[in-house]
Amino acid sequence: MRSFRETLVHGIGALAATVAIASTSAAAQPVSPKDYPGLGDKELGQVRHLIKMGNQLPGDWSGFGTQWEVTERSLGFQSAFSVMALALAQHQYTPAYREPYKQAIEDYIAKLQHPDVWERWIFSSRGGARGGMLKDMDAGWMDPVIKDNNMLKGYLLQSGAAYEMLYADSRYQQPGAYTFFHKVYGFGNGQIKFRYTLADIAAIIHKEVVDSHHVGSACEPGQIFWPCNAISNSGFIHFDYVHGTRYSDVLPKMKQAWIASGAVDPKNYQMGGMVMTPWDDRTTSQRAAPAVMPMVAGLGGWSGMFNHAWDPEFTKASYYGVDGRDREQALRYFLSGDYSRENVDRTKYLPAWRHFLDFVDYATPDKEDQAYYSILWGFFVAFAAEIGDVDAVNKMLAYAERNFGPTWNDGEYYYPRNDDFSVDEQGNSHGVDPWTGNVFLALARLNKGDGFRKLYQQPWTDADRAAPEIVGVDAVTTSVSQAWWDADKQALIVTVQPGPVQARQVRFNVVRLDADQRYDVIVDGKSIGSIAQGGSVAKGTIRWDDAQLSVATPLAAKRSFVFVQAGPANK
Amino acid sequence: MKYTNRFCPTAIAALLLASALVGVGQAQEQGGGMKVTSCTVRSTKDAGKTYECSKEAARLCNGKDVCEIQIGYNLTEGKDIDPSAGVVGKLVTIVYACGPISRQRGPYPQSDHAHLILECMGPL
Repeated sequence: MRSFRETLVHGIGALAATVAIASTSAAAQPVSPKDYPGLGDKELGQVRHLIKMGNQLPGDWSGFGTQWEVTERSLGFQSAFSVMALALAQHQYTPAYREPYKQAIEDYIAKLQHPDVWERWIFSSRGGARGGMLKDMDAGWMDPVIKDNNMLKGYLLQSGAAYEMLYADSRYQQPGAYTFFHKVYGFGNGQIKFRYTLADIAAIIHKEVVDSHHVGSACEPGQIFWPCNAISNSGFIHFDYVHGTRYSDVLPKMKQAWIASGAVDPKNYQMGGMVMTPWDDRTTSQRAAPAVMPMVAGLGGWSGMFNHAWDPEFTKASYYGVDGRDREQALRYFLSGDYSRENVDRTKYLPAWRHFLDFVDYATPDKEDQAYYSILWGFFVAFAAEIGDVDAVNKMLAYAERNFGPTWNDGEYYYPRNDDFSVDEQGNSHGVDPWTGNVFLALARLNKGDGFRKLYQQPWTDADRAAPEIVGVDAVTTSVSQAWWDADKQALIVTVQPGPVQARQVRFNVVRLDADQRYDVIVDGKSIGSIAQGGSVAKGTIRWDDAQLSVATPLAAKRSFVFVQAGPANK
Repeated sequence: MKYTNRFCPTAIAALLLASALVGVGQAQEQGGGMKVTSCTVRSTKDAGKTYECSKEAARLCNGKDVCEIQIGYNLTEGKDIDPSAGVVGKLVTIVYACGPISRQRGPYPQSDHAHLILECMGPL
């Protein structure tokens, strides 16, 4: 128990801090870091892991490797979703701290151009007898963007457009910004480069959508999937915002086309997920997979987390299903261990779910494909997070903490790959695919509801990007759990905490403070003075020389810094 | 390891290296870079629809040791020789000589985004 003296001292200190907070800024509005979103320890660790994986050198896929080989693009999918997870974190936790996020997103976008990601298109574009479109494999085509393959180019558009919205950096508009270089001597008809800009990619996808009568851009040759078009559709929103185009006008038209074709059942919130077309023509004989599976599961979750950005009511309704039954069924499926079982007892599930269970058994024919169980688990938890179903997310996270081997390593927090998908009597399965362990579980924590919707509906403006920002943080010694510029209060709010390596003193700089203004400085809730350009406080540890204000501080635990505009500087 | 198992990879590597060296040597001997001998664009849908693009390819690449050439509509005077063949339905093939050695690059679909690399060095 505290002594009276301690209580008195504490009380005076708290009162002083309150007075300091309350009396700061010209607007006399209190500025408290608690009023701004911040990253928790696990969230910081997951962001750190995403950044570290993005920063890995080209061709170093350590930690990405998946058991799930059924589709071509596991590395690409994971890279692209990592971009979106970082974009969300950037937008909603640390908008005034951009350097590592920007670099990692650039690195991931570079990965999407790596031959390990795109060259399998050379096989996919050949098609074949499977699917009934051809009698044999075709010659195919090497270029991964020119036709179909929205399961890559949709992600190029989504990630590039999100990057442009955040950073107003035109690098992806430069000729050859996206270059796919077939270098190998061993096969092919000679070395060739396919060079695109982001605008080229957006225009090609949009044309394919329009040409298909708004059914969509084909992901595989002659196979138009709902999820990859959800990706490119969200990409259109940011692209339009940055470039003034009207590509996203196709979004409601596409939804209507899917409903009209029978691929989406809007009354029961069911879908088939795919429309097939002939080999040569995407417009004739479009055949929809019957809308018999719940939209909340599988492909619906893959797409729903992004469709929520522009079609929130319908997407949310599809998450819950009629009378909330699909959400309830989903939780039963993913928390009972059924998701990790073959030949699940169908009697426990509604008819639409039985179709889904049949699909899962079909999609995981071999034990070596069981990582798809984990991916489906990840789709759902990420979708639940976007919808804001906190109860579901918490239950799923508890399951993950119990079963998925959460790991701290050099300040990174993640759930490493585990190919053991056996289920015990209590319904615990330990299998983890890296897409889920690295990305979806990060999204589950980072996305507090409407996270992607905010990313699309509240894009940054030039004023946001011109606001003060912290730079020069040594990520080895320092983690930034929040960094905000509050334009209404003209205040910069920064919270830092020790990184994986402790240092006696850490530093960061602040750029773009208004040199004509003086700022009150509040550290850990206590006012320590005010500063203008050319001045210093705290015995010179916080200095404002030239364009940058620099902070040097001991960092044994979390520390907050607030700089609040306090009136004109006396020059 | 059996002798044959060891021999095969070694022999293949040696042949590849020799092939590369021959190519380099011949290119260096002739010294004048490449000379385009044929360039065609043909429709995969209608064999009668072809376009002779040697002149443009030669203008862009003759005399160079390495030529990164766009194989789009620049080769067909801005025209689509067969719109019905679709975006990947017109194939470009370029044959060129480096000294006495003839090399072929393509066929690849004609596209403004495609840049074919013709070179006189390295394997054929």
